[in-house]
Amino acid sequence: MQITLSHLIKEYATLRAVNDVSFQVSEGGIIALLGPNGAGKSSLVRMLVGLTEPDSGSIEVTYQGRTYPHLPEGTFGYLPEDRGLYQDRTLKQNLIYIGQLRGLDKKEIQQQLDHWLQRFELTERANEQLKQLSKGNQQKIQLIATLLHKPPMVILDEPFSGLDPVNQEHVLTVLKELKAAGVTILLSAHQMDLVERLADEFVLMNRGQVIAHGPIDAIHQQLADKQTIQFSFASPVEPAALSALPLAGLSAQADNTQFTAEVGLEQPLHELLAQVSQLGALQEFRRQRKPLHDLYLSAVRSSAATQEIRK
Amino acid sequence: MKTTYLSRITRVAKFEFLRFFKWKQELLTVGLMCFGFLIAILWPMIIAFFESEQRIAVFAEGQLPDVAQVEFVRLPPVDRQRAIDAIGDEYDGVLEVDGFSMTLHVEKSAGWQDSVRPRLRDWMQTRKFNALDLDQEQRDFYHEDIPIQMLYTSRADDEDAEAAETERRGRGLITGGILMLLFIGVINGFALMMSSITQEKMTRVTEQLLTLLNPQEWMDGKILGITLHSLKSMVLTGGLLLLLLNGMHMAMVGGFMSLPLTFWVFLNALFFLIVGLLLVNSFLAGFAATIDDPNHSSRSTVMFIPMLPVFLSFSIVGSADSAMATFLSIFPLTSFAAMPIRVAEVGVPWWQWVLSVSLMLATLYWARRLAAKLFRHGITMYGKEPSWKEIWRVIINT
Repeated sequence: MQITLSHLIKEYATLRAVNDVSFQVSEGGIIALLGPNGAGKSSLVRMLVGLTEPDSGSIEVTYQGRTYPHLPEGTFGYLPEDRGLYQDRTLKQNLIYIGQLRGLDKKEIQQQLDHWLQRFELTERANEQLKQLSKGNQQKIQLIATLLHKPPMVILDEPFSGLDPVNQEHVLTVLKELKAAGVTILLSAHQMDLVERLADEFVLMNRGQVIAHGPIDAIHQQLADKQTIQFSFASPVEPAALSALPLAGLSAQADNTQFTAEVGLEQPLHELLAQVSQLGALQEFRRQRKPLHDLYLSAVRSSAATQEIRK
Repeated sequence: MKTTYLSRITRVAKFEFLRFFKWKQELLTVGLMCFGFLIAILWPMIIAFFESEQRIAVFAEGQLPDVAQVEFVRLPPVDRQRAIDAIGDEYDGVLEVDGFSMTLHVEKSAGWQDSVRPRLRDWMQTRKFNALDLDQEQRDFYHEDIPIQMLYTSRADDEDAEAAETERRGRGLITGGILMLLFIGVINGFALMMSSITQEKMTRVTEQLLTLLNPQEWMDGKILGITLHSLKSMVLTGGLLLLLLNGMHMAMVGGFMSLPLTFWVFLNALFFLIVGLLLVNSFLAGFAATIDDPNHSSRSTVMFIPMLPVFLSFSIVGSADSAMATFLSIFPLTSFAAMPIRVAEVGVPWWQWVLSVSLMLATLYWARRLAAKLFRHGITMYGKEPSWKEIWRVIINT
């Protein structure tokens, strides 16, 4: 399955929720859609699953040799941001209904139910009404409803919200297994540490626009203005000896054997490594990345500031 | 993995039906209805059991009055003052008769006096009649029953007029029954459709299910499931009512009650009731789809409108051949309630029947499409109710 979004625009009464968004989703990976509330993530996802139509631009989904204007029916599982199931029906009744509507037969539904309820440790609660479950457990049932028909693509809007850390890890493991099984996953989440560990590609959005897109290296390339490097020598080196190098914010620790500094992104690191190694017996030289969380925050803030200036 | 339109709406309909069908509640409803019917039958006996007997002292010659729950005691004139003094203790009242006028002494106004007064008047009328100087022949002549012979110009002369009158009463029972059951069906549909759609919106089921079904399939299934539920309530109530009436008939007259219900009248009523409920539930679904929270929406009251046709049709019972009845039985928003009444009471020209059915089916097709469009429109607004202007635009475009 190949998805191409080209210059998508979606407007509501007084708001342009999605503003000229273009990117591609390749088969088999995990793509994280990131952005603050109101960035346009859910609007984008709703167009992708066919709940709404774009005002302009296009979505092209190529699946089994055919092209569709949104994800074709039965090929995806969708966990929306606004979600819920029938509170006065049992877990089993809810999931059987979803399975039937997905076109699964009784045997398939039973097999999938047994598998997933056991996987999420809910087998013994199968005949309880949904309203008797905690928010976290209801969230797990929602996820089961999304995965019941073994779709080749899964779209998850905030899959970790409402889950405790143990269950977040549990869901993370399930998503990794799905990825290993070749399922394409598009997710949006605010838990940056989890997302960074999980996703292959990232799409950062703010105010309806994509501000960065690609694998984590590409995101750093696009968003970080500087990179941090750490290096250490076997014996002390005078900081003055480093003054000729293109380093900013140099700091020395441990009797001038360890140093931390910032380097411009345009600076080739192999050249810097060669220069540093001439100053002493180099023991370690490594680049330290900014966490995604910091990148995300600074990108969103600078994007907001840019838009303010434009106004 | 492929599903068809039919299989999807069948699954939604079954789910919607079972969602509101709860065995315990159904049994409780039947139990309560039986209890209500039993109380209604036994009510006169219950009243009689709890009603205390009144005691009235009478100062009059001749035969004493005969009134249920009242004991009349004749006293000699010398006891007059003692009896009056004993009102409230030994007696509830004292009746004095002077010629053809009466005085009833009581302590204070009470309910039992309302039923006693007309019976005392009858008693005095009889006394006056007996005082007239009439021989036995004149008295018999006076008491002779006065029959009214009914002749119907639309019927054969040799037809039994009494049978015709019985049939008319039977038809009235049928038409009244049809409207009453229809009213139950519409009320049921109103309550369930409102709850079904607004609950789904409030518990946020909608967005996930809309990726499994399109709005038309979802609405069709919902309309079908809730119509089945309405029909179930109608059959249950109708069945119990029939049992009750038959029970009363057996107890009071003997044998089963006979109704002038032909197969055609039954089939026609069933067809119009089913299509009518589908039509009403389609409109209710459309309206409910525009409401986000029934507790805070002023639009909920609009959902009572589909009950109007049932109320209007009550007015044509007994005058099913009037121009108004003809109009209501053809107009597509009222025909489902009015046509069964006309067919049960008078003959309907075939072209009127065909026109009525055609218009009703066309309106049903339109109404279910409107419901789906309103639903889709309401959903895409995410948390906002569509305005009347937007609703009107959807209606026009459907």
